[in-house]
Amino acid sequence: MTTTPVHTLAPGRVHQRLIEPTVLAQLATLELVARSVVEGTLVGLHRSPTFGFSQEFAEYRTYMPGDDLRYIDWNVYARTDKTYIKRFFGDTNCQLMLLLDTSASMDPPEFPSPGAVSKIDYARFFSAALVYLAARQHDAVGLLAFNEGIGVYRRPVTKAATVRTLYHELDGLRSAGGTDWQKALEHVQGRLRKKSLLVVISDFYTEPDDLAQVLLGLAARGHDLLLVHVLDPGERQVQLKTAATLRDAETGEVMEVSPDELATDYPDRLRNHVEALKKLTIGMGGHYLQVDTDQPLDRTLSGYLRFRARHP
Amino acid sequence: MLLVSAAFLAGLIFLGVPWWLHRLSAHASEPRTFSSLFLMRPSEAPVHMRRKLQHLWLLALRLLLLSVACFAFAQPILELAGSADIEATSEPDRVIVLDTSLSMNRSGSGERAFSEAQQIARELVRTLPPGGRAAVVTVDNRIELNTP
Repeated sequence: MTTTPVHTLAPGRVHQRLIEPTVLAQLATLELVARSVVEGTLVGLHRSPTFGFSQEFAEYRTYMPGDDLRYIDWNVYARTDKTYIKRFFGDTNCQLMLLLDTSASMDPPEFPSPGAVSKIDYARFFSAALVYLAARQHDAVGLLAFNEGIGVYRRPVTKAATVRTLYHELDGLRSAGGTDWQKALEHVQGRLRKKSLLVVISDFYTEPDDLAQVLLGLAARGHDLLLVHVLDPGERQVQLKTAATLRDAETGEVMEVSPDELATDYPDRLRNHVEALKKLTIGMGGHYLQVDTDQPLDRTLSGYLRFRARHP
Repeated sequence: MLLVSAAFLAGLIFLGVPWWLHRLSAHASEPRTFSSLFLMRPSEAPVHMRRKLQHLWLLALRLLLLSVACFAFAQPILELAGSADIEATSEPDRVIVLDTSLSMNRSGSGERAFSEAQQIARELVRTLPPGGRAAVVTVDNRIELNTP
C-alpha cells in the first residue's frame, strides 16, 4: 500500500490518503477493497452518529420483510409475539440502489491510462465501498448493472448474507455492448416502492436531454439522485501527435480526427457536457460528482458522504 | 558509360510497386478504439496525406535500393583514363603470333611449314602502312614477345 502526501480535510484533523485505485486493484477480494476504502475514509472524519459509527441502541421499529433477522429482538418476541427490529444510533433507514453502467465504453482497449484503473473497475470498487457502508449502517442496498439490456438486478435488502452476494455480482461484471438508459431506469422505476437513494455510476456519453426524460420520472417519485461521472484521465486530455482514425467502442463508428481539434475544441465540448449534466442533476434536487479513475477512492467516498449528510 | 545488359533497366517500371504499396498502407491503417466519439468531431482536412509523409524516408530507401539493383544488373562499364588515344588511331596494330614448336618442321608442298609461316609474317610486316606498329609473339613451350 502506498502513502500519498498528507492532506488536511477538517479543521484540526489530518487525513492521510492511503487508498490509490491501482493499489486496490491488487487486493484479493472486493469485500477487502470495500473495507479498505470505507475504513480508510472514516479515519479523520468527525465521528457522527448519523453514519452508524456508534452501536448504541436507540429504539425499536416494526419488522418489515427483507430486514436482517440478526437484529430482531427475540426477547421482545418471546414476551409479546411481535417482531421488532433494533435500531441503533447511526441507522439511517435508507434504501440505496446502485445503478452501474457496464457498456463497452467503460473498459475500451488502449485504456486505462498509466496510474489509473479502468472505469468499470473504479465503478466496481466504489460500488463495493457503498455496499459495505450501507451494510454498516443497516441500510438496504440493491444493484442494477446495465448496458443495452439489464445485466444484473438485485432488489434492496439488509440481510447480511444477501448483501455479501452483491460483492460476488460486482466481481463478475464485465464491460460490453451499448447503453440503453431508458430501459435501465424504467426497470428500476417500476420496482422501487420506497423512496430510495439512486447512485448512478457511468461515463455518461449521452445527451443530457435524453437522460433528463427518464431521470425526471424518478425524481418526481421522490427518489434522491447522485450521478457519479467516471472518466479516465486520457479521456479528459486526448493527446495525439498526428491525425488518427478513431473507432467508437460501443457503436463501432469510425472517425478521422486531428490533433489540433482535440487540443482546442474537444476540452471545451467536454467541459460543456459536464456542466450540462451537473445542471441537470442539481435541477432535479440531486447531486453530481465527477471523478477520474486515478483519484483515490476515499476522496470519492467523502463526496458521497457529504451528499448523504444533506440527504439523510 | 556503357551498359552491357541494358534490358534490365526495364525493371525500373517496378518502382511503382513500393509507391502503390505505401499509398495502400496509408488508407489501411488500423483505427484506434476510443471510449466514445460522442464528443468528437471529424477533421475537416484530409488526414491520409499527412499519414503518407510519415513513411517518406522508408519509401525513398526502397526506391533507391530498387534503382541500384536495376543498374547493377544492367552491368554498366565505365571508361578508363587514356582510352581515347586508342580510338584516335586509324590503323590497328598488328600482332603476329608465330608457332615455333617442332611440329612446324613438317614438310608441306615441298617446303617446311615454319618457312611458309615466316614468309607470311614478313609479308605482314612489309605491308604495314606508315606509322603502323607490329609485334611478333613466338609460341612453343614458352611465349615470347619480340618487338623492335
